[in-house]
Amino acid sequence: MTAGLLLVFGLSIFIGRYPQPYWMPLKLLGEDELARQLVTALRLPRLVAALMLGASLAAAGNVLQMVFRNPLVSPGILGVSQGAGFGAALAILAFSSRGLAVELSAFVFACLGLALSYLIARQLRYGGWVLRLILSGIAVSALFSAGIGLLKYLADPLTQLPEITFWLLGGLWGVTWREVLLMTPFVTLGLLVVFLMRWRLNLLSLSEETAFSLGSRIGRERTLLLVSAVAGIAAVTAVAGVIGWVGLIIPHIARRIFGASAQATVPATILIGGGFVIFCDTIARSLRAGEIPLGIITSLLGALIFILLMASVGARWKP
Amino acid sequence: MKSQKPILVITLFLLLLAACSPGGSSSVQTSEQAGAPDLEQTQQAELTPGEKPAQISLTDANGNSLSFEGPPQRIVVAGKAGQLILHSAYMFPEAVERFVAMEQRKQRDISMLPLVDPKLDEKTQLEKDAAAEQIAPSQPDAVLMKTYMAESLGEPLEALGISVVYFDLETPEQFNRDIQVLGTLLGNPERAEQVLSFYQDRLDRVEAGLNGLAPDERPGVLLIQHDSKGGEIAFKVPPEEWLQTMMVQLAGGEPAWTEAAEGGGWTVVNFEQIAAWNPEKIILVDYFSDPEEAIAGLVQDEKWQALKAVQESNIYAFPGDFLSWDQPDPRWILGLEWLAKVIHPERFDSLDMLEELKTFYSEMYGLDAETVEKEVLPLVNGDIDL
Repeated sequence: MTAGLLLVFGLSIFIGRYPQPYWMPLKLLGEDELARQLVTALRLPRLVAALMLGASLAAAGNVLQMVFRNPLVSPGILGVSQGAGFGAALAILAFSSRGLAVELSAFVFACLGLALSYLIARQLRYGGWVLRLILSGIAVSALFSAGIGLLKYLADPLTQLPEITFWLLGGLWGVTWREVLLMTPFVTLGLLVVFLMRWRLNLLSLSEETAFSLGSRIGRERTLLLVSAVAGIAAVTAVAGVIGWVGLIIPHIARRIFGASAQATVPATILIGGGFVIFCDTIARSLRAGEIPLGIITSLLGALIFILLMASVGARWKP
Repeated sequence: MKSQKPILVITLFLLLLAACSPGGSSSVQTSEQAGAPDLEQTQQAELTPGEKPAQISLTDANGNSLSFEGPPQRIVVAGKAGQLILHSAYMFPEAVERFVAMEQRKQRDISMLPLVDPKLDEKTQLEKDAAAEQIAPSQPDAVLMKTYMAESLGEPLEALGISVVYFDLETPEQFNRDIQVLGTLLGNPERAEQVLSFYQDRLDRVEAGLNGLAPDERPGVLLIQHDSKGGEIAFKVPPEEWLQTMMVQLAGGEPAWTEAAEGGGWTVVNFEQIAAWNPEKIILVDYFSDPEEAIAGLVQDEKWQALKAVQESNIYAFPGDFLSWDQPDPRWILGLEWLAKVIHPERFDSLDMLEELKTFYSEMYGLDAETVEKEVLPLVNGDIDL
């Protein structure tokens, strides 16, 4: 799996639009100064950002699905990504620039989105837990998406905010090492916590009584895992906009290959998620002369994979 | 019975709604009751001297045929990009008397309208994205808007019985057509001919300057929008059918970006693609910040220094004053002349942009040299020698 990720990463360094569409010969790095600059200043940071983006979204999706015992939740469905986007947009308007404040604001509103989805789901009195959480998540997601729209059209007379398409479809075209450095602490810490606590996730996916009897401090561990997952999502969403389907699909793929245990699926989702987004972003920046929003590619491929997964024989969710 | 009560209430409510359905008269009565303009404002303004109140007919940009009993006396401009219609309309002196309300959207901080309309303060300034309900109280005889506003704004106004005239003004051909429509609408077709003659003279001059230009003498030109919203920089290229692409072609350049220009709007391109094109000349547009500042930042970047256009100092900031001259606004003719001079400096060496600017404001808007010097020249930015 790691070898596969390294292969995708390595090949993607040489795929792009310079000097001609799709492929840059290796020897050009030794001959062309501009080629070297493109690779070191543009392609590499973008690939690292895509890796972090995919790893964070996929790991967070896995955490959310196991903690809430719901195979259909993801950062995009529970309002986490949209909350992060709203927080980032608000901070950009307030401070007129990007920086740590944007990341922190994204984090706060991502947590708020998750909390709202959870609390509203608890208040609903019909349907099972799976349905209630999805419904409340959809509502909270719509709330924050509308909030981004309102900020853009009503509160942005100086047109400080990027276009709505950026927020709703996402993209990595503006990423440099600066954005990577801003994301790294949040993403690294978040992924590290999730990775180290992966075996506790197995306990949290059980009923509360069972988990408690097995020694889990449910409230504390659940909170720590969720906050860690959300930290990563907030950091990447502030930079890349809302990217859908990664957090939903990659955990399912990992479970199909490695089984349901978080011991295996957590590292698998991190690696597969990172590789998937690198693959999608390489298509987004190379296929055509104009950039295709990343969210379009992840949605297209993610939805196709989802259909195949759901239609395949023997597909079952085991909480 | 309990369960039937809500149904009864809903049915009665629906019947009430149906009785109040828009047929024109009741909606107009509502707007009149809601504090409509004073009676003296509803009386027709006096016709300008020499104007004949004969019936006028025209076909607008959407292909709609409209007739008016004489030139409309109360005209409103609304919807997105209404500023571009206003700038075209104020080339006619009748606009001062006839325009009663407008939605102003400034691209930069200062509007041109106070310079050309001494009665601007008396006019209703509509809010951004004003809907039919906000426009109708002005009791317009006609509302002018862009063609793409038809569904969201035009149709509701037409349902109120208000005539809507649509404009494109996006290409030289559309500009010709729509100026003639404005001339008919404002009862001054002679002025429309004057305006079009002014533009044709300049187009002919550019064409004459490029006489004998071989295809391989057309340098590769990249026109990109520098967008730094939200602190994130994006470079965008315009679609093939937009005015910006046409201007580069008319000015004797070869647009380098057409393979990316397939979308309906600005398309983001990354620096790799710009490097792959490596054009001979780069023209940078920035609608919300100073393009010269943007260029100053870019040329410091080692990646950009590897581009041919930067090495040969052929990267230019598109000029503008109240707004950038690359857009479907009457100033596009200034933008075209500037582009020709930048792309083929040897062929347009004698073209004096300062003189062109003064002549434009004098003949199109009636501004004297002193006003241009005091109110317009300080706003001009971009790579232009004045």
